[in-house]
Amino acid sequence: MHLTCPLWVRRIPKIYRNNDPFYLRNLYLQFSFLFRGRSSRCFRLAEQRVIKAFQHMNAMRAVRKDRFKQLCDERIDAACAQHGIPGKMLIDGLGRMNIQLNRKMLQQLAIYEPYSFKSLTDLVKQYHSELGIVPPNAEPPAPVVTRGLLQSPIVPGNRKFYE
Amino acid sequence: RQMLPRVFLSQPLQNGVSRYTCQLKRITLKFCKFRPNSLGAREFIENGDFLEFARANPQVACYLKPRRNRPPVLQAEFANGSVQLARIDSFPAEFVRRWFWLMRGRSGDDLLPLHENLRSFHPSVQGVWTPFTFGRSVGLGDLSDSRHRPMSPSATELIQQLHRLQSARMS
Repeated sequence: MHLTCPLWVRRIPKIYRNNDPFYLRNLYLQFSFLFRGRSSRCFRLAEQRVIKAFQHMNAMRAVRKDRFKQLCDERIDAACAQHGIPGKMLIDGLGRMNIQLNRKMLQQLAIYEPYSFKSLTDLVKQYHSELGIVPPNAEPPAPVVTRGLLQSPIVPGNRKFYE
Repeated sequence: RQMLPRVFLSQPLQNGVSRYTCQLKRITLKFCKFRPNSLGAREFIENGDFLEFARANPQVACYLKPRRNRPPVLQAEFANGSVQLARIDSFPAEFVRRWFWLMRGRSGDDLLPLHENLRSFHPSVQGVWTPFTFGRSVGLGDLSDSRHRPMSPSATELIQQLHRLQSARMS
């Protein structure tokens, strides 16, 4: 079976079961070298902890994605709140304008490129004001020249109408 | 976290920042001349891809090691002393070629999970966000509500106390 290098490291081959017990035990102990106390030195303790650690690793994969998404949402919400719009409005508005920025990039912009993030919020406010929706507690945005392109953007499908 | 610690992306001696040196020093292709699982490796050699790699990379010492009755393996040795093995058992020749060129781009550091796939020492161009970036619109909180009370009053507080006493005396 073809596996990448990191997965080869984590694989416990069945062939070790028929050979000298040293090989299998050494493999478990290699995985447990960072554990605390005798679980990192004694096989009979390490075996249990390593199996549990594998289970944790498996379970955490989906959880990690969810937690990261929550963190991004929180950060976007906080950054948008400073400019007077809810975070969901930003994500929805950008999606409707066909601006393809995902949550990860938006939170990076909010932290490291705050003025770019502000311009994105201004764009979303402009989009909504053109539709007649006014976000509450929002300052009026800096004037954004749109020429109607926010409502009907040029996408590959309708490019021929603009030629 | 316990099994494999996460690391930040890094290069040995900041390779690539100002100059780049190929970290791969020696690459050995071990294969069998007869067994079918070495077919890809043999084709890779016979098609001239091995020579093409060797000519394109004069900084890498390329070796061929025929071994009877053993599965094929690619062994790459790097400038930091680490050795990486790639099992190319029953791989097509194209995959063997890709492994060669992949090893050429590696630094030899251990393959560990990363915190982030990118790393920059200057992540911000516009300046990192602070509560003061857009004026004090982010509520920093009234410091008089703070539970922390210093031992002695500050100069401002002293002057305010004096003013209060004075206006009380005046009125």
